Formats: sequence, structure tokens, C-alpha cells
Amino acid sequence: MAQPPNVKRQLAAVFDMNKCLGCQTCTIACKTLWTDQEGMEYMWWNIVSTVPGQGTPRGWQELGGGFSDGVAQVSRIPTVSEFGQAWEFNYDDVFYGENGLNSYLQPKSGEDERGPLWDEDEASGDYPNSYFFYLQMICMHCTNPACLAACPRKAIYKRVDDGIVLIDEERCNGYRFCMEACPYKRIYFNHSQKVSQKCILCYPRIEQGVAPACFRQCPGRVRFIGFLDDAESAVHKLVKVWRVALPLHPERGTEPNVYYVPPLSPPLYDDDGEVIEGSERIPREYLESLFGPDVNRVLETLKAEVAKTRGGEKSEMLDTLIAYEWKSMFGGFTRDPGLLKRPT
Amino acid sequence: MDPAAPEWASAPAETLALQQTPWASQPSEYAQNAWKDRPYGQTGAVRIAAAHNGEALFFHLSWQDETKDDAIRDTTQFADGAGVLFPVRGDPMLQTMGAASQPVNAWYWRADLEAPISVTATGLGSTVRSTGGSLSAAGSYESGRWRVVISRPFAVQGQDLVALSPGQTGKVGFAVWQGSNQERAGVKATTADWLPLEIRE
Repeated sequence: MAQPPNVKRQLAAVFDMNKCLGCQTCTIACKTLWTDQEGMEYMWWNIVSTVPGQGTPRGWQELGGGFSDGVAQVSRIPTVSEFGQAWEFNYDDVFYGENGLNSYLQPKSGEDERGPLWDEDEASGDYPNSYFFYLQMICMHCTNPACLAACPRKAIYKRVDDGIVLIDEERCNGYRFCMEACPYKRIYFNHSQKVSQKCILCYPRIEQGVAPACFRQCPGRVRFIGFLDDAESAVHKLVKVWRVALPLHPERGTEPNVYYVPPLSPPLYDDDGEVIEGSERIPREYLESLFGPDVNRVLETLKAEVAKTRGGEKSEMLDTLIAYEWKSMFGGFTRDPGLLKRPT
Repeated sequence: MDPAAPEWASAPAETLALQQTPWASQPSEYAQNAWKDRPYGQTGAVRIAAAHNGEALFFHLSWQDETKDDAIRDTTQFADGAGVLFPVRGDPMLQTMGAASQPVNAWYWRADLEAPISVTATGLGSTVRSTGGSLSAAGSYESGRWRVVISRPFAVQGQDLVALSPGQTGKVGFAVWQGSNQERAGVKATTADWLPLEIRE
């Protein structure tokens, strides 16, 4: 097995799943900033999918990849259809075809009927005990990236100063071994440039002290960023001190650097419509399938902290998660994006 | 330059056996594991004819291929390709794509690219695009067969490009990629070793 690359420091993210509204403002912030060019139509470097659900690309959690006991696991490249094709709409017909009263806006015929979020907001379980929550995905900027190890051209590298994983498009030949190997299936193929592309953690913003667009524009204050070893950063406290944020699918062996605060549940109702005290709507087994057994410890910690504040005590952990002051979320990456130097 | 020209069909030609590259020499563990139990490099043979006009050297490659893959419309699609490989300096091995200080120079044609690419390598996974490759190519697919002409002027300027001139002898190797089988990078069929190349006056 190849040695994971050495870095001096690692940027990490924490996504608080309890606060996500599923509004996709992050998704659009990324789309308009990075993936609005030809060949990138179907790309969503950031996506928020509904879980339990198929996600994007559909069924990615069953595709394998990553490492098991240090051995690279075989997977496959998802198709454009599985990622969700970018639909062409019948704008001409509705707006200019003098048919506006008879026609309605819809994907043109022949388009794949399933977009990237075809099961969005579809709940699991039976009413009134149905449930769903949102899973926010970007490139995990792994400590041991499967994409980097799989590339036969050494076109993928991890930046020494911040651990951001990037694809060198000059070296990339579009062989797509990275797309196969990534267990999170966060790499896309650009059909126009014939290279693989993915989330770059907005490194040009990071280099100028500005949080990535999906973090900065999140209206729900879901996303925290900072250096994992920066004792002052919220990320450090949540991951290392209070240990209430966990990596997604840790069993895939890539040591991802996006951590999730798992969702607390509302209670279940019994057949008479009465609340079952102490019950949880989201099955623990499902959460364990995402975050491993450690999720139980985290949920108990969070519940104890909530109980503490209900008793009138202060909780620095919950105050941090609530993020009364947005600047507290970004580990110093708080400069105004309006001051960014732009490429000419 | 017309790969379907009758002159190429009647030109002296040689049919060379191709074999799959060893899975264990794929330059990443993932690629090794992914192709260990999967057939590839089954093209079998490539027919080679060559000619020069005093200014440029032309190779005509043709091989059997049941499917024409000349465009990448989906993430899972790969294009058919062919390569002509030369040692540049020293005595590099073909199967390792050269070695440190013993570079190889490849002419890489791919059905979905507008122009062929000249690359140099000093070992597996080390290929870089060369400057001043000055290659041209034309491909045609008919009746289950690719016919490709790839050529380069004798006189070129650039780093680690193979020196070629009339009257010279050297070595050459060939490779074929089947796009329909997702063959790319080291996943290909090649000649087992170098073949003698003699460029007549």
C-alpha cells in the first residue's frame, strides 16, 4: 500500500446536520462560481442529498472504492445518468413558441427522467413516524486519498500547507481511475476538457483568507472550517476536544477531513398519537451505517448537552454549534470576499 | 496521409503479434486490483507498413476492432487509441516505458482527439507531453478495422524527441487500446519487445 502523503497542516470542515435546511444555496454558490462552463453541466462539486436515499450519483454508497485493511478496493465509474444529467428545458416552446398557454416548463423529451436529486425530500418510515435528513457532500480532501493513490499519472496531489487535494489538469489525461477509486464518488469527468474535476475547497479564496463559497453562503450556518490543529478554531474543538463530529463512512479507509455532527431525532408516536418518551425517529442502525458505532457516543453527548442547557446551564459546545457570531465558524477565514483579488 | 489509400494496402507490411501488458506492472495498486481478473490487451495483432518521402516518416497501423469508439459521450466511455514508441537514449526497456536517464518517445493517436500527441517517458506513469512533437495523423474505421497513418518530419526540435533520418537504424514498438473495454494508460496491448527499425536512404 502506498504511503499517505505528508502535509504540514490539514484544513478540515464540520457540517452540522441538525441545522441544514436543504436549500441548496451552497450547491448554487459552487455551481455559479466553478462549474458553469461547457463540459461541466452535470457537475455538482457540492450537493446536498436526502438520506436515507440514493444520493448522487445514485447508489454511490454501494459502489465500493477506498481501502479495506489498506488494500485498494475495486469500484466503477458512475455514468452521467447516475450522476443525474443536466436537463435541457423547453424554453423555446413555452416562452417563444406562441404555445405558452398550452405548454408548461419541463425537460425536453428524451431527457433522462431522473435528475441529480431525484429522491429529494422523500421520507423513509411510515407516517406519522416518517423521517429524513440532509447529507452535505463535497470532496473530503482525505488524509489518505484513494483518488491520489489510484492515478497512474501522479496527476493528483495534496497541498503540503493545507492538505487540500487537487487534480493537476496539465498532467491529467482523463483516465478516470480517480473516479473509480473515490469511495464518496465526488469526482466528475469534463467531457469538453477531457479531464477529471472536483471540489477544490475554493483554494483561491482560502489563500486570501476567505472561507469557501459554500461555507460562506450557507444561510443555516451549517458549515465550519479551520485548521484541525488550530486550538482556537471551532473545527478543532468540535472534532478533537468535544468529539461530536464524525467522518462519513470511516470504514472506507481514506480518513476524510469533512466531519459531520449527526442529526438528533424527534420522538416516535404510538398508535394513539401519543409521544413515546425517549424514543428516536431516525434509527440508530441507519446512523451507524453512515458514521460507524461511535455515532452512539456522539448522540448521547449531544443529548446530555441539550439537557444541560434546558436546566439553565451554559454550554460552550452548543453555543459553538449555534454560531451566534458567524465569524466564529471559519477559523480565521473571515475576510470579505468582496476584497478578493480576481484573476484578470 | 490517407489511411484508406490503396498504396498502403499494397505496401510491404508486417503483421506483429501484440500481448497484454502485465497487470502487476500497472502503475497504481488500484489499477492492478481492477484489472487483475479482467481481460484486456486482447487485440492480438497489428499490421504495420511504413514509408518516407525524404522529409517525413509515415507509419500505417491497422488492427481489428469490433467497435468504433471515437467519442467520449459518457463518463464510462473511452476512445480507441494506438501508439508508436521509440527509445531516445541509452537502452531503455519497452515494457517499463523507459527509465531514469533512458527516455522513450511515443506518438500517441486517439480516435477522439483532433491531433496526435508526442509524449516522452522515463518509466511507468511518468509520461509528459513533449514540445515540438510536430506529429500529424489520420484515422479511418471500416469493416471492423482501424487504419491509422501517423507521421513526423525527420527534422524536429524539442527535448527528448527520437532522432530519425534516412539511412538510420533504430528500434520501435507498438501499442493498441480498445476503448470499448475501457482500456487506457497502461491497460493496453503492446509488442512484446522492441523491433528493429531500418529507415532506408
